[in-house]
Amino acid sequence: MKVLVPVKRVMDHNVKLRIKPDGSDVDMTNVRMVMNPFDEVAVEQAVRMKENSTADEIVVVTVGGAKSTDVLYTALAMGADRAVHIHSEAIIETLDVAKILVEVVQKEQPNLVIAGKQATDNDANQVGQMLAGLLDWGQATFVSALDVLSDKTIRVMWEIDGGTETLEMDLPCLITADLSMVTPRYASLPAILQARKKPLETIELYDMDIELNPRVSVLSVEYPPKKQGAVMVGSVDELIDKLKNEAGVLS
Amino acid sequence: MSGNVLILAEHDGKTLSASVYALVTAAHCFLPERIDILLWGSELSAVAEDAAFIKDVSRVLTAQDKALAHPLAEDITAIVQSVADDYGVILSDVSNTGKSVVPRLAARLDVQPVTAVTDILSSDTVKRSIYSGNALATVQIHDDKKIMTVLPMGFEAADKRQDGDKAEIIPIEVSQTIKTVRYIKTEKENSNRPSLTEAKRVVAGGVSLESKENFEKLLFPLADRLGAAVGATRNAVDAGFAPVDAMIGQTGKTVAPELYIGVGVAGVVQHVVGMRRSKVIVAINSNPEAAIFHVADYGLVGDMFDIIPKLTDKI
Ligand SMILES: Cc1cc2nc3c(=O)[nH]c(=O)nc-3n(C[C@H](O)[C@H](O)[C@H](O)COP(=O)(O)OP(=O)(O)OC[C@H]3O[C@@H](n4cnc5c(N)ncnc54)[C@H](O)[C@@H]3O)c2cc1C
Ligand SMILES: Nc1ncnc2c1ncn2[C@@H]1O[C@H](COP(=O)(O)O)[C@@H](O)[C@H]1O
Repeated sequence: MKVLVPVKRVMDHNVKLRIKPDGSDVDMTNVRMVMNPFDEVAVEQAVRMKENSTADEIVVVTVGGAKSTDVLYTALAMGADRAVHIHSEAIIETLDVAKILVEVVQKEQPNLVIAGKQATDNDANQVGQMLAGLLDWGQATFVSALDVLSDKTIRVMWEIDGGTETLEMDLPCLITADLSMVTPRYASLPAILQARKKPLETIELYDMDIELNPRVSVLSVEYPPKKQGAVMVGSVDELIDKLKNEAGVLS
Repeated sequence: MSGNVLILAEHDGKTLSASVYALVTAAHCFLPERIDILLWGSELSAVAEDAAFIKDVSRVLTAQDKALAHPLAEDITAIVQSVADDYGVILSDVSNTGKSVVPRLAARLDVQPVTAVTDILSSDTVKRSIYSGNALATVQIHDDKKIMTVLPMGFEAADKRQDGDKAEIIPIEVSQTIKTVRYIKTEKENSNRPSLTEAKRVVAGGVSLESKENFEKLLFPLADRLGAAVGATRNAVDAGFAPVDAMIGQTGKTVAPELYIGVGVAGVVQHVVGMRRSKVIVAINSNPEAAIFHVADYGLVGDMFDIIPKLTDKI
């Protein structure tokens, strides 16, 4: 089976986020960028499928600026076979990303697409479901476990409200990976060096038959409201007293 | 574009999700001509009746079919799509069903959806959190049709009608259901505690509880005393102390109870974004520098293994 994994380059969640002084956007100058953590999980899942011979080819794809090839090399170092870079320096909304990925899917003809559940920059949680919808494929979101039953069917477990649900899905289909699915590996140094030799194809977005059509504009960005800091209490009795007589949440 | 709002209403066959009442209140922000509710499932008579008695709801559309006993995202999407032309705004809860269905639906209608909206400022401008909750963005939506998932906690529950009248209940056709995805089974957490997103009180534990046994031994009695739901950090869930369903945060549930008690919870932003809106936040942590104390209303520094049994006894 052929697996396609869309990956995104995002700000490292360990760096402290700064907002531009004019409040227009997040300040992206000189911040460390990494592969979206959910996409690392998706790549890891695909690589394990290759290792246990349920997958025979893994293609990773990213839509983004020149620097986003970083994350493609990371994925190649983890064990992906081939990478596709759809190059554009524009800010691209999720619906347009999904439309671009439709073209990639039509060209690559994967049996399974494993996307991340959400990108940690926009926290959209949309592209996988949109791609599946546009392709008219079956979808399973927030998948925590995947079993390949045959070359035609997979079984997945996904989180529903109040528990988990198991589904069987005919291929081709799309799933989105939750962090609990698998723990991503760190690529070894030799693997990182070798990744540079693996095929990476660049396609200019303007050569594709896609017109970007942004429909949502960001008016302003702000820090979340800060609290005063907690009132520190010295004992359980004092805590209970405060909750009863000050906060009024206990009777 | 039509001034009508459609609410995708979730339920368990017996009761409507509390979010439906909040979404009706949210719908008013769009100054609608009509607010309608859409229900899907295998048995809708009870919930349709409840929905029909919510104040200001005009129509309750019911997609009832035996095949919808365990509705799949593909089928829900097709049902909503079949009535979508009548609506300028489509709203859903940020439940896992909503998160799964809404982007699929929007893409099929060629609409850019906006997900996890926390505030509705006007009929085209909303707020949502980005970067794991490290920032809030105010965004303007230019699509004529607006499709979004909304966090219900920011909105009061709509009242029940008092005038003896009720909304019209209109069955709609379920034309086809997907065959390439098949429901196999559900595993529900069996617990008689309230559900995390609807509970008035939440007790949440972190990975420092060390084991599932400790997690349960320490937190369950306190939760039961308080009538609280039990939540957890991602690290506690990953360690197997609590089910995935109990996870609070960026990639888990968003809760906003009257009282949240964090026990050995570090207070990292990915967790905090899911509980920040709680009315009163209590933090119990052995490290006086723990980040949770920055978002808490009341803090107690100390060993939870010592504090929690005492607290449980005295409450
Ligand atoms: C992409 C991504 C998404 C994420 N999504 C989520 C999410 O949705 N939800 C979530 O919760 N996390 C999420 N995380 C993880 C998050 O960043 C934190 O790592 C996590 O919340 C920390 O869990 P914790 O507080 O249990 O553990 P720790 O960080 O290990 O903290 C343990 C705390 O317990 C205290 N402690 C230790 N012993 C005691 C004692 N005896 N008594 C009292 N206190 C004690 C310590 O002082 C410390 O503050 C995500 C991370 C990533 C990268
Ligand atoms: N620019 C992009 N290029 C490739 N894949 C993407 C891109 N943006 C999002 N994705 C994929 O879609 C998933 C969900 O992203 P989002 O809907 O933006 O939260 C990510 O985890 C990726 O797998």
